Amino acid sequence: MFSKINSFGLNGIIGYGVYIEIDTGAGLPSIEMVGLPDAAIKESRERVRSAIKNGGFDFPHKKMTINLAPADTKKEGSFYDLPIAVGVLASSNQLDPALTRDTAFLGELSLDGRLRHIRGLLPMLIWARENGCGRIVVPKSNENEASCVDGLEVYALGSLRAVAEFLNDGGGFTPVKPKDFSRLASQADYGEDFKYVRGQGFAKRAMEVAAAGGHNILLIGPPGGGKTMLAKCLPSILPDMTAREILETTKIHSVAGALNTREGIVAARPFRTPHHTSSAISMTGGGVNAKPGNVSLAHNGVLFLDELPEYSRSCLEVLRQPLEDGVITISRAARSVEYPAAFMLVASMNPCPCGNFGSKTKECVCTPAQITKYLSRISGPLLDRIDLHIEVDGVTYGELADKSEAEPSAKIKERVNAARKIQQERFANRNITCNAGMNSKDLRDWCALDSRGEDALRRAFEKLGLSARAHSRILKVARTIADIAGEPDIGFEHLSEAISYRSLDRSFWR
Amino acid sequence: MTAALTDDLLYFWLSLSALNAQKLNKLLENYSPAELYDRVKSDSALADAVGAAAHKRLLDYRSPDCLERMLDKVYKCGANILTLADKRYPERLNQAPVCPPPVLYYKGDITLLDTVCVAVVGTRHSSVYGKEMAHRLAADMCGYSVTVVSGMATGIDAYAHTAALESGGKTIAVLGSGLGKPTPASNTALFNKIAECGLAVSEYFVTVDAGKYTFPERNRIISGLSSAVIIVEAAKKSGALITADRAVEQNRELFAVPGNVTSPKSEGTNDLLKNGARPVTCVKDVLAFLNLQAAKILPANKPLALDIYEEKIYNLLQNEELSVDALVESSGFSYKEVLGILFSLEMKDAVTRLRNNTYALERRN
Repeated sequence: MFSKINSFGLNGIIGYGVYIEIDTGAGLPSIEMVGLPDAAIKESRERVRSAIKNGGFDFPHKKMTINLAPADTKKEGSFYDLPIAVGVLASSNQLDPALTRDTAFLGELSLDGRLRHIRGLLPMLIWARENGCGRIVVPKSNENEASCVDGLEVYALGSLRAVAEFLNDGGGFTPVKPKDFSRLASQADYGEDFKYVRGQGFAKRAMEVAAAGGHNILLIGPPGGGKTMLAKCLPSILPDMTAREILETTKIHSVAGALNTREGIVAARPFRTPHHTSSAISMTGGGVNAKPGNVSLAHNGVLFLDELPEYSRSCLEVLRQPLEDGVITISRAARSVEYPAAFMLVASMNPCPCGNFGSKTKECVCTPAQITKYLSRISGPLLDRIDLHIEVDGVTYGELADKSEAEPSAKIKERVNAARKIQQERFANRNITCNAGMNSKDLRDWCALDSRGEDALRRAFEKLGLSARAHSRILKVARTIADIAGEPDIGFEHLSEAISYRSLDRSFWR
Repeated sequence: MTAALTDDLLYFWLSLSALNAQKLNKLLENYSPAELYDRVKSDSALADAVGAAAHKRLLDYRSPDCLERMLDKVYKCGANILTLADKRYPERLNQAPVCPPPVLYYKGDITLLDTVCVAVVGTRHSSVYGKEMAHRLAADMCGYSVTVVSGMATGIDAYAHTAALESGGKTIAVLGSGLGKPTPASNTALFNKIAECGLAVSEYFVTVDAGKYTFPERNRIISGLSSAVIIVEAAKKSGALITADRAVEQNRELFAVPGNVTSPKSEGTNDLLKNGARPVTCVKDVLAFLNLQAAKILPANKPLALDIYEEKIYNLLQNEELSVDALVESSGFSYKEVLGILFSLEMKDAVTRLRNNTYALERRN
């Protein structure tokens, strides 16, 4: 007997429809699986057999052929357990095949018949919504994730038994209620707060500018100067995520299996801190299954690289293309997947191997040659992609002992949110969300200078010997500073502030 | 036969023997170049005096055609020769204690040899302090039209040359290799710049590689070309101390930059000071010796036109250098305002930005 069950598959973070066809007939009892299944799917026959038996059903002793259509695409993941089990029940008349026709199934089975958490649900649900699927059955633990998508009838069930009851008579189950996650975004809690950071006004201001425009920033300073502290406080002033950003980021985390089951969605901007021993592949993503890497998991958030020169050269160089394009394409023998990777790079480093070069209080013991060598671990092309580079020196005891609290993150965040709102309106029907993503045409459209600003920039170029890349970086940052001030045009003071955040352009680094 | 050859060519022929300057000078005490050219074939005493290898070379190159061909090689490198027979051969170099090279290969502006020259040399493994001092002294001397002489090695030498070039001054590099093979190779860009804007000289034929002995040998030329020698930074056994010894032998004024007593990189220079070298902390110390006070061509300082805000920040910086944070605190202005004011002050050359977001007043004449 033949049955056909609806399900979905994943290609990168794009879902697609998959049909599971099961044919049972006479012959020696066996299960043949075709349609390019991976090892996890092939093993599902054992899980399905036990789950059916332990769920109170009979496993048919017949020759069984299972086909995953379309047959020319490689399928992977463990979420075909449930549709296969349902198909087996339908083809052995333990379920009415007609009842399964308008429903799609996703879920991993445990041997006792319970449904387990699956990864990559969100992109598949989004595909389902766009392609008009009616009802979808998913595991109970994926309920929160499923609530991100409205316009779908999703049932989150606990076991194979429950699925059978639901198909037979509804079983009293209600569909998952869609969540309003715009509210969730502003509730996100980050722990660290700028009000606990003493002194460092200049650095804080630079962090605010970076957060407002999504600019990449490099913090340079001696150990113990507060670079890491500043970076850790950054999430507390990052602008709230828009609904679109939440959905995009959640999709990637869902595919990577990095989603928190309790929250189910990513409502706070991700803050990824890969260790400096990370490999290039862990940054870009890849492997046999072409899973997303750190650059994609940091999409719409922050990738923080502490002690930048300690990362391997290859690990840093792979960042160049995603920094420029906002996406990363991973090609493996069988497939090529594109993951979004629009992140804000925050990096910190010491100015020299001993760390004290340029410090007001400690003496540096490095030779100029050592310093040059240390700085040259970061390639020029990577530095070119960093908009702000500032020096962070240790605070004095006087500043540490100061009991007065600094400006709290919440207040800074208000300004950042306001500035980001201006940018969102500016780029309303574009696929960029902030000033950092502007191309050369945008620069012409939005970063026009008055004659005083033009003159100031020209003189700064001559005096500081800036590069052409620095030119566009300065304009973008100046645009953000003007947005924070709520000014429609870039003025002299915005420009001069932007130039002062370009420490590495100064001659004392050469 | 000799009549066809100029003295220049004869000296050039002698230099092709690859004998060192000391031996050549000894020969030249007893014979004129022309005599040597005539007698080298027949005089067996002469052959013994120069050694078999050099004698063979002298015989090999002993024809006008051959010499022309070798001279072409020099020209192909963009270099030229200056011999003892030349009127332009610097008086300073042509002194017995210097042991003048019969031929000086050069590339660049030969007239620099007649300017006031001061050598700035030091260790290859310099500290940040040494770099800063080399830069300061070299750049400041250029402000007084003094030519900076050094050896184009990495470290202090290279910093001195670079500072001189950057401040638009003149500099002479004395190489320990042929001009066609500037050594170290990492300084090739610097060498090209020096040859273009200054002068590079060497006593070695253009294709000669640097060797273990060529660097100590060329040190005598560095001090020989200079009126004074400044050792910026030298450890106990630094090669720069050889230059110091040569300077004393040649009766040049020797200066040393005092260093941290605890720093091993300044041990050599501090020892020099103990033994009677003059301490130098700023360019004036050298100038006073050279009687050059009046020689500086000063660009007239433009009066600073500051508005009241700029004035306020400028005055805050009068006493000490301050960070942006400190300036915001003491001025009462916002970050945006302070950064704007500092930027305009910087563009007016009134202040300069240092490390760690710190600003200081620009040094004014």
